[in-house]
Amino acid sequence: MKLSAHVPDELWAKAAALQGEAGPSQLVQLALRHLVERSRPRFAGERNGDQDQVLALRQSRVAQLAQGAYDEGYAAGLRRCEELSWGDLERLAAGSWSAAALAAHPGLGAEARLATSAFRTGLRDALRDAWLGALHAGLEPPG
Amino acid sequence: MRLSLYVPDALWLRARETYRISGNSRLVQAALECLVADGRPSYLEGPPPGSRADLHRLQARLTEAARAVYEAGYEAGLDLAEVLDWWVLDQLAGAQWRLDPLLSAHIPGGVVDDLRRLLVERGQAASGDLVAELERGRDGDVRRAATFASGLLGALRDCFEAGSAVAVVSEIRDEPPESAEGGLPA
Repeated sequence: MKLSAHVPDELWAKAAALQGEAGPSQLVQLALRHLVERSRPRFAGERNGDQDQVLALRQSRVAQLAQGAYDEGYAAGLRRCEELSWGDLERLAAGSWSAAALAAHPGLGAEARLATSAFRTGLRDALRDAWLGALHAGLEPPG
Repeated sequence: MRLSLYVPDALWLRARETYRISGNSRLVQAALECLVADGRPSYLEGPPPGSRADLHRLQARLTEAARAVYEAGYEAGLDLAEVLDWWVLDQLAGAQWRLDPLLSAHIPGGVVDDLRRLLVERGQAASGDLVAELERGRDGDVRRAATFASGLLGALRDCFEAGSAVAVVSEIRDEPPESAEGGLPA
């Protein structure tokens, strides 16, 4: 079905930033699917206190795993950066540090493809932070 | 902003059933808000403890490397300023010393081709990345060689602006003094 909807600009900008080049219909379809999938199953009852406690512990564990993967990715990014030239980083920056730009780079591709999203984000952030640091230093007079 | 959207009927009905609020806009907004909220990472971003020193060392190395690339671009610009025709400099000045608009409006035999030819003739390895982008014409992306390009254009701009000032001074010098026309006694 075709429909028309009003979305505040700020919300749209945040959502669009998550999904890169997806068009409006694709993005809204994705958001609706996400809404449906995260809803409680039809026959699920309310969680009891014990379940809430266990759930909190499990969520904490998963968050720690994600943090570990991100930190590992960051460390891997710093190691990889040792081998990269300024020109390599400039090309990755021109590609907006996208997964495609990282995957296309020899040496980064295999690692970026195989790893988790948190690892990949950490690796990307390390490369980007190194590039940004040099870029900001370039605004200061040498000495 | 108002969006015109296509959503498969089954998905829309399922979402309506799941989230019972009235109004298309409110449902779309709720879905987008949910997507944004769940898209936030559950971990702290930034250098992990103990890696700041490595990051700073890398940043220092890259800063030096970037300065060397810029210097190579500036040197190339000074060399090119000796041989470039006026129309090339004038067009670059008209493009606010940016190559991307000239590249996206690429004209065979124009400024971009002239620069590329001269850089190739100069044969310096440092210009290789920029030459590669210029060779791609409209598909080229100068951002991929931004530091070298900014050095090159910086030198050309410095020469152009100084050259313009000299030209103005020369014009003033060459103008006959008003007193000569006025017929005042020597």
